[in-house]
Amino acid sequence: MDAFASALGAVSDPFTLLAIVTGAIIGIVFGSVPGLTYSMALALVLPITFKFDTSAAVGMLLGTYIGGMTGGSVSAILLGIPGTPSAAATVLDGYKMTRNGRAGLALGGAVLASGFGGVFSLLVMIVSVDLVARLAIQFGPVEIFALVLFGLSTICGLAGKSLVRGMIAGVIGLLLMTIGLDDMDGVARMTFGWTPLLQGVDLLVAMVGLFAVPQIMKTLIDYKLDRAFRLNASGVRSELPTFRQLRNSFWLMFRCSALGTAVGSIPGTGGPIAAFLAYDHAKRFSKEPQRFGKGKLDGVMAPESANNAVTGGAMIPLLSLGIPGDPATAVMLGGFLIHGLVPGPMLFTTNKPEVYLIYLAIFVAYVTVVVFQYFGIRGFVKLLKVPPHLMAVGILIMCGVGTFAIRNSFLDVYMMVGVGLIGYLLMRARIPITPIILGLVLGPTLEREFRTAVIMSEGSFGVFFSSTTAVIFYALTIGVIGFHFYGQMRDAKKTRDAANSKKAQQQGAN
Amino acid sequence: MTKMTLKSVLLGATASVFLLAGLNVQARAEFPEKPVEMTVLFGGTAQTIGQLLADLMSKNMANSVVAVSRTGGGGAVGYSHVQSTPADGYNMVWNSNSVSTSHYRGNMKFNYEAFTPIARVSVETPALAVSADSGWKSLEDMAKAVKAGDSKLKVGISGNGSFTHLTSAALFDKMGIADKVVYVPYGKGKAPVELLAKRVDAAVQWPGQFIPHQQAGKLSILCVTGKDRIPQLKDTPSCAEAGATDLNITMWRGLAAPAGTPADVVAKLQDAAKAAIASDEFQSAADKIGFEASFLPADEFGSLIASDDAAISELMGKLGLKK
Amino acid sequence: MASRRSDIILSTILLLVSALWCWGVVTTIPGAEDGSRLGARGFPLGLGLLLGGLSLIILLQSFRPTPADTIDGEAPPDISRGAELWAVAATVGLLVGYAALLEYTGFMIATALVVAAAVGPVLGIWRPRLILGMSIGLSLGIYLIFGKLLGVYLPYGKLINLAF
Repeated sequence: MDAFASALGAVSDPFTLLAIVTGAIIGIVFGSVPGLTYSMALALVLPITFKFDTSAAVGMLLGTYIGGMTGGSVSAILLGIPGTPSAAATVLDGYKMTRNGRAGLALGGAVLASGFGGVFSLLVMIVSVDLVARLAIQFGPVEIFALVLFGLSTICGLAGKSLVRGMIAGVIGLLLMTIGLDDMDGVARMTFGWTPLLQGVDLLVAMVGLFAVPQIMKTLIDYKLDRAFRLNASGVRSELPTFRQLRNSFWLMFRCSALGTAVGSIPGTGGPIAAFLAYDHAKRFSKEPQRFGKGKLDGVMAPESANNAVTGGAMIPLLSLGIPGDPATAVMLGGFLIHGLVPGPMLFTTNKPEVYLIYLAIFVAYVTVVVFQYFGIRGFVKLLKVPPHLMAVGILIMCGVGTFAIRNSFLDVYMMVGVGLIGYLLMRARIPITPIILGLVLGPTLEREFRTAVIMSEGSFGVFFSSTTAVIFYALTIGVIGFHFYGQMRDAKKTRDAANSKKAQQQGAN
Repeated sequence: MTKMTLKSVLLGATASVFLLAGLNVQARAEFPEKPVEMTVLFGGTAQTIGQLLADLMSKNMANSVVAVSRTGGGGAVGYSHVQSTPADGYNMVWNSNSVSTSHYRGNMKFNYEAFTPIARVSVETPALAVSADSGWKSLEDMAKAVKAGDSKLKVGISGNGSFTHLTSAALFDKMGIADKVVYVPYGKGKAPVELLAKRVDAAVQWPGQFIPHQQAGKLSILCVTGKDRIPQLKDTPSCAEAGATDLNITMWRGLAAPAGTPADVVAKLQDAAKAAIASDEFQSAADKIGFEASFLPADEFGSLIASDDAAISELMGKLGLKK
Repeated sequence: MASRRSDIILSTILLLVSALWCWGVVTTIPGAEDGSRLGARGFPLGLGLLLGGLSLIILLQSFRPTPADTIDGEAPPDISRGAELWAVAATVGLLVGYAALLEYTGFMIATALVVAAAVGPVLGIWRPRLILGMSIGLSLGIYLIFGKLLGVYLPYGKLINLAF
């Protein structure tokens, strides 16, 4: 308890509090601006924390991480452009809600779900860090491959009526990610000897291209045809979901948070996969799945609770094993190390006060994020008052600055434009965009884990069926696809029957 | 009314920015007149150390050093960028042995000679670890068991052709078990987990990733690959002591500028780096992150790069990794 | 049927892409270095073939007499071709121009110029105050907030520079 008291003392120090709050706000800003992301925010904050004492430094890093994870929903909901990859699933219903005039409710729901997911995963972490860490390391290449394959099966739910089109989109995403240097063998792929292309297609660059560029084009078309979508922003208030809506969504948020925590604790998977699985889960088990994609609040709360639950989940392998799950947590690991906090099994015995400090800082960060975002909603929706065509100019500039800043590469800016143009053309050819993102996110993990598994088994493919966990995931994947196919066939038959009977009727009338 | 004042403020501010830019041009005097870019090639610890170094170097110079990350392509992207910039000292790269591995792997057309060395900054020594449950207490134990058994030893490394791969290959070659090893490439620091879960039998990685698990009794670090022991692991023998005669592989990090950068400019950067490395902050960071802060002046650094390059070339040729 | 024609075009292009992709993979990516591994080539090759197969399905479906199940629920947006072409060209032109300007003239000049070009010539809003306000406001605002306050690295120009 002494350790806890000293941690409480450290966190309540005004400077530490200020550091957490500042970090959270910086995170929200980076998370909510398309093209800037929390990995970048953390890299920028890191040198500042060198000069701080341990508690302020740890607090600021955690605040930035959490703020960034939450902030991604703001632009996803208001502009239809996810601020971070983890918020890509939030666009589906969040942006529709904005077009329906419910931006305030969507933002309010997202904030509450984020806070819920975050605190849920924090509690799981406190109670069962050891157990979860031990389970998580049982996820080897085979199991992660199976999990990612299951994640890809959510394409079914996102593909609209044609599964083939959804799969084409997914494959295009997977293809894009193979360009560049292959990390495992160290050879160039599809660069044709051009060194700058070795950097490959960055996920964030592709995401900005796929979401923001078509959005700018659509806005310009509307402007040209003088039918711009106007929203009465003065009427949009920071509306929180009603008690009844919350009660109805409580178990959904609970399940999605559990899912997010679990996915987050497996190194190398992360936010986007959790968010898409949660969205798919919510749609599949909803009483009115047909309303998803048209502006349903559950379609916002599910992915938002899951992607924030990933934060607590990801802290588990980071703290107990010293394993960063993604580039963002890798930066945090560097910051912890500089202040002499060595994550690993010993941390919980040798650095008890600091561990409590981390827990408390995460909690404070979530409180900050929820308060700031809730009261910020009013300000955020004011953005909708800006005429859309002028907003498009601002978005265009931020896309350029943001994609450049990721790796300080001009090639990335051109790549963003190219991917955006391709995305628009595909969209016009009725290929859905979201599965491309899914392919982009999951591609590298899918390939790496598959190849690692084959290498470890010395070339035997039987290894993929050697694990019960993996087999369960395959079964789920096949189940999801089969279920979808069955549904599609039934719908097609219905349409055909209807057409036939109509024809018969016409003939009868003649 | 307020709108007008706001606009005039903005106009005034822009005007002063223009003015400042003009002044900058006129005040050309001594290097550096503008911030110096330090290109960082990798994320993770390499980035953390790079940022700290840039920060500390800024204190000793008229203008700041800015760490700019240009990751990707195993370093090739950043090297190519710096190599293409003017040789005026305003661009340098936070480099490492990757300059040799990238070149020989066929991903970079130029080699280390495209750069002028500035200073070596740090040295990191890979370590070999096995699961504590394996019962192997020394390198000899492991080699004996592998020779006697039928199955191959699975070794976690960062990637094929990566520095940890080369290190392991050299080590197992010396132990005479090179043909009984399967390399499993991981990347991104996942090798320790795989070792904990016993999906691989051994791993060669940076000691910082292993030490906490050794303290917890889950892993045993058998040896470090330099010729001397390292400060963080005083009780762990070097691999050379443990049976791999003459093995001496360490990875350096340092600073380099495009070839042809004037000597006086290089000297200034070298002195700034030297002061930064000597600072208490850098030394304590080295201690905590787990690398050795070790300054080497430009000329000595240059000969080190050349001799390491020759060694890497030979090793990669032997392993069939050279393109 | 417009959707049928667009499906034929789409699938033909994708088939071509997949063929080119597979050719690129086979000719430039080395195969596995020993038998026990999949190598760097396997995945891209498999995906390229998969793309070809899927586009073939679309192509075949588009020749079916009642392609009821290939038509998506959403009606294609009713867009005049002229407006669409203009919007796509304007967006791509502005972004490419911005990227090129960023590289050679640095952040400040590039942003001010591109914003002015977007508002004036492209959108056709010839209000000097708006043009001036937006171009200076955005470039200076981003410079101050992101460049100075938050420390984002904004591009320096290769030819000319104004602070950035």
